[in-house]
Amino acid sequence: MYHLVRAIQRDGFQIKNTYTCLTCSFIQRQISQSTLKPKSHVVATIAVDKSLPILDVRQPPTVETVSNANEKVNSDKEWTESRIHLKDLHQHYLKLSKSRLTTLVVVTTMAGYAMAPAPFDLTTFILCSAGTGLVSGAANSINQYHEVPFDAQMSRTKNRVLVRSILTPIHALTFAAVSGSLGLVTLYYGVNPTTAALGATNLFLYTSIYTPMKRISILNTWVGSVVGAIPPLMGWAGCTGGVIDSGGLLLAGLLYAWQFPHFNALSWNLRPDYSRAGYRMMSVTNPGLCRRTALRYTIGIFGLCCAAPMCDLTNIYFSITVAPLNAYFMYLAWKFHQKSDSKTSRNLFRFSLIHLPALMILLFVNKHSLWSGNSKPKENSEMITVNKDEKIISSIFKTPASL
Amino acid sequence: MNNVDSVGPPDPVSNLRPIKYHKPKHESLVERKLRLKRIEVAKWNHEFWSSHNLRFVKERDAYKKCLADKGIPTANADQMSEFYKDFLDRNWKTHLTYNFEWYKKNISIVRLMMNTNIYKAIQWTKKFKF
Repeated sequence: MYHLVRAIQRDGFQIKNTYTCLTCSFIQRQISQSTLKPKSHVVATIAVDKSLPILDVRQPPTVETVSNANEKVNSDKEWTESRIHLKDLHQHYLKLSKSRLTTLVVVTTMAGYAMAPAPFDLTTFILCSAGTGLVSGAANSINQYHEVPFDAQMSRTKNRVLVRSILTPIHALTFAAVSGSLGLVTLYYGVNPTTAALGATNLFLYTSIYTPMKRISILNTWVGSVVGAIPPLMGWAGCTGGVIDSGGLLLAGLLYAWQFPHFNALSWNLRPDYSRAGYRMMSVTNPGLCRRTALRYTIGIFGLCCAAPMCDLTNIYFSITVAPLNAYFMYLAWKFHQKSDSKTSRNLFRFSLIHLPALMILLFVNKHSLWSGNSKPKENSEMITVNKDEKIISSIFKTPASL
Repeated sequence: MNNVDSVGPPDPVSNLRPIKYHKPKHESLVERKLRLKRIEVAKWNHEFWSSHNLRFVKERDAYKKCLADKGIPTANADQMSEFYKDFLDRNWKTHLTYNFEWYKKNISIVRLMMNTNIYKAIQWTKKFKF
């Protein structure tokens, strides 16, 4: 019984979500009215089932779930007090920092750290990831503070905490200030100044350039991609002590290129919303370019993956094993380029979500120094011993001179 | 309605949620200033998005009608995308001015909130007489 209620509830919400993604708010209202029907259906089935002999123990949870469902539906229809309960506060903060996006950012930073040629240090690794996560959370809160009326216009974003006025703007900004400064201090003192500088740059780029640029120019996607490419660079710099060479740049390039098929496919189905809310996204202002860049950058990813062994980032097997993955990504982008509709764009978007983690796992498994007998650290240790010998020799030679 | 603001369901046209701002019994000057400013900004936002969204629906229907007159009863996604692009391009200036105007108003609200919080903190410390 309980599962039945849950399933219907879940299906009801799923239907609502898929429709709201595709349609504009004008049609939305009709659908949201129709989604109210499953609720009454649930109540009816329970009323029938109550007459049947059911264990008393099972009854309370079902009643609770129904009342929860009612609450969820009603919260969109009724006036609610914007009182914050302390036990819900962490959830609001997670939403404010867009926990999923922040997780992705932290994972790419970890990948950057893991791929760097310097020896792995657990403390720095944790500090680097935590610092990046905090800065990302701050960036997302400031972004949401700026975007309230715009977010309210789009079905994808209309339920964010600031749009619902659950938190006040000053609360969100205080959270951003605390988490941002904590993150930057962690990066500066716990990792190194280069990583902290990269973090500060990204925070500025995202909140002050990218966010208003969405309404100004089509170039916003390119700026947004740079924002997406910096986190792996932060991880790389965090590991190497601030040195960024070709391998780090290639990794950043991969992340930069990945944003295009990912975002272009996502934005394709949101064109009515973007048009109304004033977002100058590529999918609306230049659909042809939107299709072409998605294809171009999947080819770019293929090329970069082939170049990875040349930068001493991975071994040659990486390029071979990653080829089918990239080929399929290219195939889906090609499909999207040939016939752009909600189906091809959704396929491309979904695959982009699988592609990135798979790419990162393959990168790590095929890391240059992982299997080939840790060539880099050995070279370093040899260098140190040579240096020591030189010092000893020079000190030997120095002593008689000073005498 | 106790001592907090309450938030309503989103407006069907402007998509913004109306807020009933709580008015304390002994409202200080800073609190009053903040409340009035928030009401003013909410009203301004609501007016902008109401007229903008209405215009969108109206122009979209007109566009569909125009296509229907040409002999295309239901417009496909590509034909609609032409309208979306056109509408976005025509409203570029409107959105630009609205965007920066909104940033200014939003910052002024935060400044007033800060003032209110400082004022409240001072009032609170006055409770303790040393």
